[in-house]
Amino acid sequence: MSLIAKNVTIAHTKNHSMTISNNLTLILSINYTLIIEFYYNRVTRLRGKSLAKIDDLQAAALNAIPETGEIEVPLLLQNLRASGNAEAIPMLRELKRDGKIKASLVANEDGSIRHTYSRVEGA
Amino acid sequence: MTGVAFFFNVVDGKNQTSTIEIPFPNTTPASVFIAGVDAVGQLINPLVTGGLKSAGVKVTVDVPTWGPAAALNSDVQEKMEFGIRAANGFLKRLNIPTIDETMFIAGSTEGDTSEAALLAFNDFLEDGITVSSTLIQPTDVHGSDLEQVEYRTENWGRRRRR
Repeated sequence: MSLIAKNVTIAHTKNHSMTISNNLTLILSINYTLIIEFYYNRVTRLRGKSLAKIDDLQAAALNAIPETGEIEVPLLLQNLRASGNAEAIPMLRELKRDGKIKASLVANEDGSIRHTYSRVEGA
Repeated sequence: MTGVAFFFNVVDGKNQTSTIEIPFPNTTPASVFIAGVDAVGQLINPLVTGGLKSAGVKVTVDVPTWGPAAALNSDVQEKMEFGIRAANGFLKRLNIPTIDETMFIAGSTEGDTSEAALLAFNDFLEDGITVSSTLIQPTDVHGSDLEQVEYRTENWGRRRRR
């Protein structure tokens, strides 16, 4: 798992601090609780959830997107809610930030907007 | 400095007006100005309870599809602030006045990206929108590409503070 952070300061149990920049790969020496706090800062509704739970939510969000082609975002959100995976919706932002999915917005000639997500090949 | 910006005048139920301005690169072709303003306006419109009164790129353009009526309880002092990190490292702040309160997480001051309209606007800020087969992407005032929305939060105007 990787976290993308820019100048995020994580307090350490002994009141030391460290600054993380660019791409951070989780390292076992970093305190588990502090990692959860880091996630909390980014996704408020995941407060107190374990990393395993977050992984499950990410998987649920990713699985709701077809392996090939694209899905319209309103339909995707509707599918996630209908399947009892509403909690996974915030993970769409995480998946996009991690480069696993990509968004597309297209203004149609009839004035409507088409907003879709698709998986990034090889991600 | 970026020479092109789309602007949107939003009116509230008290007939107060506030302006949203979104810069674009100088290279944005003039051929997509009107369609681009219309498309971005359609992304903003579901977010607000006020009425999008007028818009343009240095000149006002006709945007008949939005619906001009402001809800009686709309207020330009009620804003959602987006903080978007640009490629040059600067933080671009963008406020949407007369924000619809359903765009916030219940019991929170944080924007709710499980709302399709807010997620669409969020993705527009990061990735742009294809208009007339041309991808246009917003920038900061230095012309630097907007890369990542870091926060979207309640930002009440001064007149609402007690």
